[in-house]
Amino acid sequence: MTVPLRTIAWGRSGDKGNDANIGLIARRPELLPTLLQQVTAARVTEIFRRWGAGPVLRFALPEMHAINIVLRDVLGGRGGTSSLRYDPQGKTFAAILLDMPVAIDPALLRGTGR
Amino acid sequence: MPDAVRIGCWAGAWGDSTAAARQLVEHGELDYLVADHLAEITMALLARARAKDPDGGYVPDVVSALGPLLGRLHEHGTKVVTNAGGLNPRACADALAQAAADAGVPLSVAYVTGDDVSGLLDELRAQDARDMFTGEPLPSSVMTANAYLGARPIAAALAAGADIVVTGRCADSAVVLGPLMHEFGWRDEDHDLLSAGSLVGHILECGPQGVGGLHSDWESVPGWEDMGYPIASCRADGSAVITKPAGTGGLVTPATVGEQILYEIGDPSAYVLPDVVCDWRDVRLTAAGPDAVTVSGARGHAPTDTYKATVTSADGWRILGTALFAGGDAAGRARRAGEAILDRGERELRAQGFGPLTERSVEVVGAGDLAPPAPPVPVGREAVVKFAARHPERAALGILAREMAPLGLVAQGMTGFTGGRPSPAPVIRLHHLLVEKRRVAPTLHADGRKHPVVTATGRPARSGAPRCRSPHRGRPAAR
Repeated sequence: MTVPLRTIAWGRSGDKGNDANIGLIARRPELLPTLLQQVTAARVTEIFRRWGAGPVLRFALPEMHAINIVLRDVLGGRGGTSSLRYDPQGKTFAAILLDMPVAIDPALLRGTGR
Repeated sequence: MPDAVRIGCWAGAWGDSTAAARQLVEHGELDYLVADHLAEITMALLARARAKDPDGGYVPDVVSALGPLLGRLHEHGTKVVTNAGGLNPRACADALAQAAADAGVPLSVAYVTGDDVSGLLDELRAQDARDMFTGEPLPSSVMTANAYLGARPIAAALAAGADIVVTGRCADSAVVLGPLMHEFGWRDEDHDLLSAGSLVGHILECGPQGVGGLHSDWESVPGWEDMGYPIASCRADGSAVITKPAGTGGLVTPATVGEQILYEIGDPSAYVLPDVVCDWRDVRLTAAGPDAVTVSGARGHAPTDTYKATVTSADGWRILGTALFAGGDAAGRARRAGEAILDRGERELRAQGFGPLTERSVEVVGAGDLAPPAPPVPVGREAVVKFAARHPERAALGILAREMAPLGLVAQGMTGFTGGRPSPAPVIRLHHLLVEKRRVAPTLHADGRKHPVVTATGRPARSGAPRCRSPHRGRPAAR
């Protein structure tokens, strides 16, 4: 079945210079492999193509069953002070990414309350 | 050594609620009340304040918020650590000392200087120092230049008996790590502990964001109108329990604390701070009761031999306005109006002999510009257009602002300009560079005397080490 990423993960985004980061936490440890498999650098790049995302990098925090996604040079300036954009700090990026459809084995959703 | 040290953080930025300090003082039973007031751009704003008044240049909220609480802080024995000193820690310390005297409360105030590296810039330019991210040379004229100092000067101030410690620019998390170094006797080479204390600082430094603010499951977070501010009960082994005052809004769960750990980080195996290079890959979060989460598992390595410094410079002007539209194809009309305002303004600039706009931006809320939907894009019946532009000269953007109103006679169903005609605002540009620690002299001012602070010298960063790697580095990404 296909569900929004929000069904299997929590997320938060912010800025660091002209980079943005989106942290994702799998709602249960068993969902981390799905996260890694589905939320690829390529798919994230595609979703944020409009903002001219440079390289997208992923890092794992296994004990928190989380990944951190870094989007390089995606904020249209040199930080929140010089960008003309509505969202110069990537504050909305997590909420946007959490809409992404992910394919998942329904058995894995038991216990997430979703 | 105490069993546990309770630290509460009442500000995540300049302009955060002044009621937060009161909430924590009344309900937090704190050993330390700390605050981070300095976003990257804040120093440039403070530079303007200092230009108007030589006794300005610090964040005045700290005096107005803490002034009425000084009696209770003294009664509880709660100490205060804040970076509100900004560009003028001495003036901030004086103002707090005066507030204590006015309240008849005997409190000793110390402050830390040494973060201002503007005096080094000529030397750095001569050595062709460059922006650590963009590789660009430093601007010829700067507003501010400040290194992010570490937590050792704060610990030294507390060891010297200060009740209130005021700093200028320091690592945000240092306002938490400093008290822990002092209380638990953590040494410069206790890298795992310094990383653990910095992690607690990272969780606390954004106020409510660490206890349910910004949470993905927003509907499950109660009490947005009275959000709790975070409290950490810290132990000597580096572990901590994150909580908030009882009866306040917010939610403390592994998910809400975890989200904040991931906020604004890059490579979790190498989060570089002045005191330590943190490795947070194996951090564990465990529910420890209602609204309580235990954090543990941070590791750390020796710090680098450089401080990060942020330089601000003036970079022309910008203007930003919005207008509302409703009815059929609101988004289409909104976009056309936004583009037309900028085109019209730019034509008028040319006519008056000004150069072109440096940059322009039109974004339509309601047309998928901010959150691109899967195609086909829905046709919005409500839309807000934002039009924005940059130009080196303020007067040029003043002309552009005057060319907005005529569009109200052109575009159907436009409600005029939200907030009236916008005014040009200065653009501040940020530059980041590394400054060798040996050139920077953190100094503690306590009891009317100056004390140099000895800090870890650090070791050179591994040359050529990439800032980022794949998630599979060194360990399986999934267990």
